[in-house]
Amino acid sequence: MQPENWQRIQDIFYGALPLPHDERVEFVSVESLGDAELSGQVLSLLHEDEENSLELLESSLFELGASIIVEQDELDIGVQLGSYKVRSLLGSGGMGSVYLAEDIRLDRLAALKVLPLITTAGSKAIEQFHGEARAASGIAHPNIAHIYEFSESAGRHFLAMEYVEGPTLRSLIKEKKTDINSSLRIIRQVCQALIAAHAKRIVHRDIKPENIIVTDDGLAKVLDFGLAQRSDGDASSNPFSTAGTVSYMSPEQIRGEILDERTDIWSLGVVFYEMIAGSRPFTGTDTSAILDAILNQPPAAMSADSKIERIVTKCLQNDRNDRYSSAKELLDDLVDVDSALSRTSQNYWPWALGGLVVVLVLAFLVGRRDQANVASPVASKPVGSVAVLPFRHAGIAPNKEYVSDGIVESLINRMSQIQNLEVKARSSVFRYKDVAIDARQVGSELGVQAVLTGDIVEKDQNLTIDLSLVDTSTGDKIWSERYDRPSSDVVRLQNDIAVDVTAKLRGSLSAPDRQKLVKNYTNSPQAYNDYLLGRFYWNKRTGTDIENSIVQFQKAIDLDPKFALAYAGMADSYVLLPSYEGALPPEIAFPKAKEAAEKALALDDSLAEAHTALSFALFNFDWDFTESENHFSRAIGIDPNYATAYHWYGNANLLAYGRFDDSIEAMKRARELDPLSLIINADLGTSYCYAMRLDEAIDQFNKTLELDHNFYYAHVYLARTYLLKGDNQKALDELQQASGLSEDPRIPMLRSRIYSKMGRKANATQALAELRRMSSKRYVSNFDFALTYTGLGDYDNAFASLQKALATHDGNLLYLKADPLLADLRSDPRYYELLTKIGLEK
Amino acid sequence: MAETPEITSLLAAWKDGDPGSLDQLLPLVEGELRRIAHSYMRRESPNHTLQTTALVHEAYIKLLNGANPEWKSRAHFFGIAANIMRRILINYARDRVAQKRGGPGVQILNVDEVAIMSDQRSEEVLALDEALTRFSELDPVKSRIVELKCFGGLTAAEIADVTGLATPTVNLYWRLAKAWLANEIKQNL
Repeated sequence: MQPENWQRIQDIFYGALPLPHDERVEFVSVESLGDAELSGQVLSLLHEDEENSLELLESSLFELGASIIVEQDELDIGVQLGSYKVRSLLGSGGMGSVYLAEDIRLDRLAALKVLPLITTAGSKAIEQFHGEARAASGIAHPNIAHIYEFSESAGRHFLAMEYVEGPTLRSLIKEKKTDINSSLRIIRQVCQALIAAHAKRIVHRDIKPENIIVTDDGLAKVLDFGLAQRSDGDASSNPFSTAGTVSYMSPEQIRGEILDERTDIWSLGVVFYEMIAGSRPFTGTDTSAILDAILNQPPAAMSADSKIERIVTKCLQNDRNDRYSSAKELLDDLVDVDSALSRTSQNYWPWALGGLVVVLVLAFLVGRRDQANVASPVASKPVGSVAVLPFRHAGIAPNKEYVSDGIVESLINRMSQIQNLEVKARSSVFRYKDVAIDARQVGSELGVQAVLTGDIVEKDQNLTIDLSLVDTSTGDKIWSERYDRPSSDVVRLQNDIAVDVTAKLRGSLSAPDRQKLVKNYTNSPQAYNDYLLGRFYWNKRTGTDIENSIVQFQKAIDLDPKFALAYAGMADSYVLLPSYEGALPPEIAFPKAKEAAEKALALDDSLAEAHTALSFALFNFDWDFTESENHFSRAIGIDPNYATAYHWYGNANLLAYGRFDDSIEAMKRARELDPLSLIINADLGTSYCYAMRLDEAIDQFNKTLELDHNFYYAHVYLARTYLLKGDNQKALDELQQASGLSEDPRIPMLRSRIYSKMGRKANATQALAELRRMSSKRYVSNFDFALTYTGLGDYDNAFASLQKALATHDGNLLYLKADPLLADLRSDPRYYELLTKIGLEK
Repeated sequence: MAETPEITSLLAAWKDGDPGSLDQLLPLVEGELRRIAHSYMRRESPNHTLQTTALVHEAYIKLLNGANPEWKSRAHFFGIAANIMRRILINYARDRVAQKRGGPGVQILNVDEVAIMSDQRSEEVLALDEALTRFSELDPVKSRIVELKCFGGLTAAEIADVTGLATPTVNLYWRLAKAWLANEIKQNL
């Protein structure tokens, strides 16, 4: 609009205003004297006046400004609130500011949410909020950002919570960094968080991508548990309420109903949908349209794997009674999808899944195994070795399989504590699950004199188990018995079986042995049930399953806080977690493992598993070699048949010390107890490899691969062995095979080493770059970098990486002395300096 | 009053037509306002519900009167108040939009969720500011009414009081200004 026209525009505009609508157009065109531009301008102004659509101009911008003035009150750096010293501002908004602070009392970092003065001054809501924060602070879970406390200092109210670094799920979605596998991993973890919180009757009420942070290690952390707006809809009652994000609200939340756990399941469903589909299930041009879609429409169609689609749809049922009734139920379905997907994509531990393949391979192997150490039992003499095979469970619902497996495992654990009776480990015997069994065949494969087989049926809350003890040299039944008990009586049932079977095997039973067999770990059948379920997951050996096992163990502990076995299970779970893709980093997992193991031992010092887990954690993480040895000795003193104890001690402690012969012996003992365990078989090869007994190593790795050709770990270490042997092409071939199965950082590391040795420097450097790329996506030990640099002859960087490993207490560094790939560094004084610092050299 | 002499001299410079002085003035005034507002809040009895607007208003009066007791002119005072508020809003909206567009990839904690202004509102405020600047070249009187009404929080009657116009005139002016701005903003959004 031109200034010269402005006066005329105004005149015509004001002239037209008093007229009725239908007379205005004519008036304007007459007054404009045929100036079409002028009349057009006036008409559009009149149109705007009628529409009055710019709501902004009627809103109180002054109040907005006032809020900005008052609420953006930043604290100065260095200021202390309670025991928290403010370090830097992380972010701020109308709901207060968040600072990175240092808790000088506990010497840890924390995120401080400091409430704006305006919302807190004289507010009664603060008291109410106090209570909620206190409840939320009771949830300790790896997937929940821990609320430390809600407190007040110098008139400022603040919430101290765990400081979590990483992008929010929102930004990952934006950057399209959520493929199906990572989405599942994240959703699963959030699901675990919900399970833990819901168990304490705490509902999140505001699950959305902004409230989920994913750390570099792939750990998902849910923020602000229990701090969201109350179900009574009174936003003012909560100083942290973040009104406005309606897309994740459940229908009942919109309707202002009382909320329960199922609102979180809905919201998680929306998040999951968004991650998979890249758009939201309920959309609209404005808030009210979105609300309407949520309330009245089905979610927009998505194209995804049908299983996933089913899960999402079940989360997004308008009527909450049609949704998953618990996060646990949802998780079970997610786990199913997960394992279905894992089978078709890369997986860290393919052997854990390849049951069928293994059985076929075994069948093929029969007849050419070494049978020299299989002695024929004489019926009247005590039987010295036995395999308790998984029960056939035709009459048991699939979801109760863990009861059947749990009884078997409990028998193994109890009986293996009996001196002079060798009981094969679980991972060997469970390869016979759901397979037709020939006792003599099993006997020769496992090297046992007897096998115990059973059939289990559950009907009307009653368990019936038919057991048979079979002589493997003849195939004859030594003994059989039927047990008929109420399902709730599992603990007593397995005590009785353990006593009967052992007495039969040994001919008689001493009082102390009987004591070991009937030991009662808990009086709560439900807790024991949860424990069995935990072990069931733990044995599946995938990252998800181990995470699930923690939840189950925790449930058992909640029911019976004195249930030592459950703590031991927890310790075992945390000890293993760092080895699995996307799982917890060592510095988080090991302290938790130790805590659980110590708790278990405080309750019951005679748990071999707890001593073993503690021994492993003390060695790998604390580098406390003496204490680690002590606990190992305790473990095998209690349970001389515990394969894992020999395995870990042989592969960790003894190998790191460079005591190769002892390491090989320990690994052989582990293999004897658990002959079909892939990892134990492979690690025996590893011991040979470090001992530079390369031909024996190659032989052992090949034996392992005969059990399961897809066991990537054996390929990787076989490649290592070939490299040491100077057979570079074979080494590359093995790596090629491994890289099709896994994304282990040791693969590019070894590739670089091989190329270095072949004099192909460009390729070697390229492999280093690949390792670097990998480290931006997942945890890569600095030790692997050190190995790579050593190959490249870049010793300065090698030592720099080793120093970093030292600074982070990276357990891999413990192999500094033993690893033949570091031989080139041994003439450097820095090498001995490091050894001394680690404690491997006096 | 504990405001710095700096504020006083900057206010005087601004009054004398040095537009650059407002840039230096703004953080000082904002900080001072906040300090005053907070000192009020600490004195409030626990059950008293606070009104942000009233509180800032009061702080404003105190600051500006204290800064220069001679400034008795209400029009002048509200003009400054509205202008300062406009700058505060614009800065906030700009930060917010900048954060949204090119913000750091790592958002450490989620607190900025629908804070004082949504992203959309921030964009609108910026558009309004630009449109209002153009409007002030076309029609300074009406644009001042807009500023007083939108950013100064005054009613039509108060604007009439401050500007010496009749209330119905203020309303008519406001109607045209609003239509013009709406038209302008829509064309530019």
